[in-house]
Amino acid sequence: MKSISLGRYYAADSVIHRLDPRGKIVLTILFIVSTFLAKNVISFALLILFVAALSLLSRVPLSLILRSLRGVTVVIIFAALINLFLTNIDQATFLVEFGEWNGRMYGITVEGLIRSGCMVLRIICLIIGTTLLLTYTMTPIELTDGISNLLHPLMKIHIPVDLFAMMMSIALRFIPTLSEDAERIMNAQKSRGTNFSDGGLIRKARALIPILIPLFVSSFKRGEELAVAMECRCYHSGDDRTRMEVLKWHVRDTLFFLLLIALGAGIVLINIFFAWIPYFTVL
Amino acid sequence: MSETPLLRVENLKFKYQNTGGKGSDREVLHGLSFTVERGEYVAMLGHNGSGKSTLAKLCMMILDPTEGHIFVDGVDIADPELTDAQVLAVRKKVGMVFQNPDNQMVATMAEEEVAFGPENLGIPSAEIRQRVDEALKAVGMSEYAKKEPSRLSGGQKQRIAIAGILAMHPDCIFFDESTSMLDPQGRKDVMEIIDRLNREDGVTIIHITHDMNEAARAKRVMVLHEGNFVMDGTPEEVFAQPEKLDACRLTVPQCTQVMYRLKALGFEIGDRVTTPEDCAEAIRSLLGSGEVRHG
Ligand SMILES: Nc1ncnc2c1ncn2[C@@H]1O[C@H](COP(=O)(O)OP(=O)(O)O)[C@@H](O)[C@H]1O
Ligand SMILES: [Mg+2]
Repeated sequence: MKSISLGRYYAADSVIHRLDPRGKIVLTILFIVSTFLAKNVISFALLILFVAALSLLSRVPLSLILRSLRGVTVVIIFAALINLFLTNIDQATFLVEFGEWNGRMYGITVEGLIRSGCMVLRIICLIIGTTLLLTYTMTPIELTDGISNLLHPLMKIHIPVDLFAMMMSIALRFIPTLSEDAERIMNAQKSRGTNFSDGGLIRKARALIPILIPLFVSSFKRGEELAVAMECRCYHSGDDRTRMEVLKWHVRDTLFFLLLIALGAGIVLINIFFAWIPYFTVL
Repeated sequence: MSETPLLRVENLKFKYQNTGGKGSDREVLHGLSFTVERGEYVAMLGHNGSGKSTLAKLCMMILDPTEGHIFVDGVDIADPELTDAQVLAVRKKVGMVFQNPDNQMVATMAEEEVAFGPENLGIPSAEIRQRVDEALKAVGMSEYAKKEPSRLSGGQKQRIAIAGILAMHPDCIFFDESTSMLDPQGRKDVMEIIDRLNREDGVTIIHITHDMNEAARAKRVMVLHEGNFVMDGTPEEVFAQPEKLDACRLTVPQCTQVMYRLKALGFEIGDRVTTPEDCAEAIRSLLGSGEVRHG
């Protein structure tokens, strides 16, 4: 039986793993804002320092951390090229001149290089930081719990946050079951002679129909039975449900929180006080 | 009788409302009446489509009776005026374990799964923890507390499902063909748990099954046929009438038939004779003891 690992959680016992999921979600938002605030060589250094510390503390192996960047290589290269060639600064120092077009000089400039480098760093920090906080060190269930906890006050204005959380966790719970179903159906159809690998895109898509329909039928059946079983176990929406594991806020959560606020504040202050260092507004 | 029975059903009729167009609105249960006392161990037999699951769902308030009454611990659950709190109180008293363990699990971790029921009842966290640990221990699954249910075997999943019901501290548990999808070892484990729950903890058991050997472990066997109870008695009484069971499209294994006939004739035979080997052994010892007088 194959197992699908959703979100690629990396099981380890580290400070970062033990942080409160609610805290980690808010931290991630603060972190994303901080990366976009960084506009200055010194603030980028600060950002890199923070991401490096986070990586070390999380005990996630470096190879795995770098692997999270693989999905965004194209984005990184694209951002680098755009910033390298299309930087529009009046007094640019040209290293290589490509030629003039529409009254503008195009080529590789020092400013373009620095700006492109900063953009790449920003994206790398952003991806590594968020995957570390949200996926490598947090299970999907913790993520769901954290989000529903944070959104809990919305229940007051009758937004059924608890229902969404329940749907989310049931979806996660059924991923392995449904993927087993899909595999079984696929084998059954293969043994009846359905060809899934040959032909063009349209044929391949057509070949999926005999998998999708039985899969839908079986998941509806499962869903119906599950609904009955949940009702038998007294499930009802509302505010009177309790939880076995209650999220607890620890001192370490507060510390990390302060650290991130300090990071954000530091970046803003550096932007202001070190404005004389070449100041790059990116994209 | 001073004590109110745990479950009393009076003239229960049920019809599935026009769900699928043609051929619907057929009456599934035609006026059932029976009583189950506290602490009883009942096996309910009946061929496919005889209405067993429907009856269980009616008792769990998943379906509403078309006619008649169901009293759970004295409360008429067919009463449409029942408040939500009363409904929850009934469902807390009566638990149900289903056939397919995969379709009754909600959580991604065994102990979270067991905690689901108590969480719905609004029990404080510390007590839920305690109940979950007890329930997992009762089904022998303590070391699997942190495991993903999808990685467990069928029998283990079903034991987790039972623990999930036990953690709600029910008075009565329905098992709707809960062993039918399990391998022999899984069946054995689950049956042992069911027996023990009744014997040691006094939980009322209503075990819906196809398996005669499993039914024989109960103290009372009820046979449902086309929406009516046609037999109701001790396993000895019921299994001694194979013709009648045959008419209900239930086949008693040959060895069970032989054993119950011998028992009906007054021979001493142990309770747990279920395999042909046991059967042969029992007959050999009877012959040896010289108890057999007839030719
Ligand atoms: N949801 C439903 N809608 C309509 N008819 C149903 C439904 N569920 C079951 N039935 C019918 O009710 C009868 C009894 O079903 P059921 O109680 O599931 O039997 P059992 O559990 O004894 O096999 C069957 O004839 C079945 O076709
Ligand atoms: Mg059934």
